[in-house]
Amino acid sequence: MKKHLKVMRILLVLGFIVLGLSGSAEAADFNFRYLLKAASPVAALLGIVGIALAGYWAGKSFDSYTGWERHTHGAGMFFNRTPFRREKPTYGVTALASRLNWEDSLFHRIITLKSLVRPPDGSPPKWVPTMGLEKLPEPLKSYFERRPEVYQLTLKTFPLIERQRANWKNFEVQFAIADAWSNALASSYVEHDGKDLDSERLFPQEPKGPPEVWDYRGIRREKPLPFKSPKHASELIKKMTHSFGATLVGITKLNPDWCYQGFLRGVGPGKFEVPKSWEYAIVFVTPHDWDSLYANPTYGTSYDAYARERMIGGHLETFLHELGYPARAHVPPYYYDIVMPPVAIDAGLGEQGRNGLLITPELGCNARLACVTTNVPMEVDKPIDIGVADFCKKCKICAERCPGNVISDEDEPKVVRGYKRWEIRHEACMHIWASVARSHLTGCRICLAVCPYTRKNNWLHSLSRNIEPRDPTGITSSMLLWMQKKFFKYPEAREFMPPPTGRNATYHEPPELMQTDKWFDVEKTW
Amino acid sequence: MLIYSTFFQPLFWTVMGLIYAVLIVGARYWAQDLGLHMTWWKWLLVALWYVLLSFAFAGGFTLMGEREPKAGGRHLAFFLAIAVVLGALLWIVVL
Repeated sequence: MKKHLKVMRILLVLGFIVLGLSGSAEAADFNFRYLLKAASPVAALLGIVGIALAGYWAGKSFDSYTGWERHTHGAGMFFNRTPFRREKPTYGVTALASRLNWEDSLFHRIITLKSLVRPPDGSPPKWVPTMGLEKLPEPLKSYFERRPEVYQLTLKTFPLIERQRANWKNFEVQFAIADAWSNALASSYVEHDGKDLDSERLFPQEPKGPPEVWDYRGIRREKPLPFKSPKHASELIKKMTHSFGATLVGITKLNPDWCYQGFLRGVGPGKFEVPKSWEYAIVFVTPHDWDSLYANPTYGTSYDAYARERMIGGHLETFLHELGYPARAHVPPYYYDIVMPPVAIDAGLGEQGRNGLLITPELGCNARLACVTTNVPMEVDKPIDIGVADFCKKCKICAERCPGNVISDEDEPKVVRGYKRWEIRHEACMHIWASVARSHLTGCRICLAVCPYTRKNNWLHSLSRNIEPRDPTGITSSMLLWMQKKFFKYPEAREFMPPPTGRNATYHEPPELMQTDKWFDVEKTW
Repeated sequence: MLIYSTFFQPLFWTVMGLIYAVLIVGARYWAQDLGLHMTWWKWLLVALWYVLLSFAFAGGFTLMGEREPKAGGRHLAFFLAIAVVLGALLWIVVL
């Protein structure tokens, strides 16, 4: 505020100079022409000062914090997707495409292992690493038998987690606010010590029963309330989802390829067809707090966006039940029956990035995903092509800055399970989660923070995000990338790690809110 | 905060509009008195140069505002250098 007052004073002084010049012109020989001549150089200077001030204010403005701005009602979904709509999504697909198995997801493997090592009911461990692969239950046993290298990498995670917990005492003051903030946000679905919350307290509740029962629970109408048209349905549902807090919303017919096979929430392991009531997916996106996101891996969290996504999912599920339609929420951190990024791509929200994340025009990678599956007949959105794949081929910043060398730096994507994408070494990613200076396994998010698409909403970035996808020559993207690499200073990959490997570096300085020494009577030793 | 109030922003841009009006009218008189034979395309080039100069400052300070001081400084230096070179060329060759 003091800075702004200072600026106002400067403006005032400059204003007096103009008046002074005009006054002297009048005293000598009043002539409007001379007055304007005298004033125009000052006006030229004031124009530059004014535009610089406007730029500074635009950079600082809370209205540039997409998804956290002062306005709502869908105003965060400001990018005009119409010119970029395509009939088919931009991820390449081969004839060999297949559905993902439940155990193909790293999260699902880790949750299962965690529940075996530390059973939620407090009973003795059902499995520990020393018992070996043979004692693991299916389908993990078969999965790891086919991939012994993945099993070895998974085993390596456990001592890293122990070491991380032990190291926390070195950082518990420096990152106290960030850790408390993160745990507070997570408290709607996990206990403070990392144990899963009592499932009765979860919102939305975890399914208890097959979709044909669970997804219809709470419906009090004999018949669903009929919409005037699919267009009316999609419009109302999108507006309502925005009102629940979503920044971006898209609707697609659910491609069964994106549903996990071998496990169904509420039922358990087994072979399942995709339920008929999952005809459509309403996909919604919220971002992380921007300032702490840029200060990852130590000052940020996934749980701010996760908590919001969970609430939106639960509210939307209930809203559809109230109208008489079946609905099931698929929400973070790992309560999904479907793989989210490709469904969001199908719903026209963005494209797949090198880092395997959804890249949206408004939020870049700062986009956390959830959806509600339902059979409300709705008008669907088409996928978009804003040139992310071409940009990612050239950029590689996420791959270069990842401390775990997790993201492929190959020029071209590979075919993974029939789909073209850059390879991600999931276990190596988990090793970084378990190595950064946090109290427990809370993620890393460096690849989200350093992505050039992950930018707030001010005029400067709006210029880039609107001009670049309209330039078929690729010159704009090359120029922007050159500027990105020359102007912006990124820490080296290893610097993100705690000492002795690194120095707990962050891309941006941590926000004031997260600086413990600013608020607490502690000695700053870092 | 006053800066982001619904009162300040329109007022600010109204004042900026007045400043630009003075600049444009005054520039015309300067050109006449300096004996410059201005045509529409010369005015266009001058206007584009001023936009570039404004972009250098506005972009640089926007980045500084969003906690990217190094990037802001580099943006300012890069585009200011281009603006100075192009300004000199404009003055010597075109005007």
